Amino acid sequence: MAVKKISVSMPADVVDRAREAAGESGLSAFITTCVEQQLRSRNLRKAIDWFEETYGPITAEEEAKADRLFDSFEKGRYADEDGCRADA
Amino acid sequence: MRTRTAVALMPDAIVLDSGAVIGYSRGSRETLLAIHGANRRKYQLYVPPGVITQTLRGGGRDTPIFRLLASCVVPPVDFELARMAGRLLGDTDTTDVVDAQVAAQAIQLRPCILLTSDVADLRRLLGGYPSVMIHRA
Repeated sequence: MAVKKISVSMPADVVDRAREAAGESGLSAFITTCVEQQLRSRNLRKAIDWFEETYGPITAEEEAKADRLFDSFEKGRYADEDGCRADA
Repeated sequence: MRTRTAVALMPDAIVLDSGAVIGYSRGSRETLLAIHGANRRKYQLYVPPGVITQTLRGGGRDTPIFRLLASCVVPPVDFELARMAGRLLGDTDTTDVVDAQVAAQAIQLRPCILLTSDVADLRRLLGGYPSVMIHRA
């Protein structure tokens, strides 16, 4: 993959914290990962917008269902009506 | 196994199989709510390469799939993942290579959510991995 060397300006404290967080992997790799995540996040928002424009907006009921799904995952409770534990 | 605190930069993961990707393009509400939740909670979507082979056909119907893929990580199938997928097929006496690679990807990213239209087959492949939450696309 081609690599471009660029110069960017950032607040000094942000640079310091980024260096600390990056550790051995290095600042370039850290910033690359951050930028990639930001771009993918924007693209996901666009993908959701397209879906809602094409097939209809997400409803309050669906919002609640999504919350239940992620809550159950984050609490380690997978065996609800929608999800299942792989070993269930 | 990946833990929530091990890698600060690595968000929680959702792995999509072919049914989930096609479901997005065809208006599946289950897929919508999963990716909507992923967006709100900052989860990362992953699509194994075999899923791309199964879903893209080179025509205009690919357009919405490309739109979704632009938000996904497509990790390479390396030796370890390929070997794990083969072992899953052997353990379960099944033959679907892409399903096995999807399952192996989920195992590498666990704990994670696996969004699939094929719950029964993925549950069979992932029987020994309860930290993969299987959700119907």
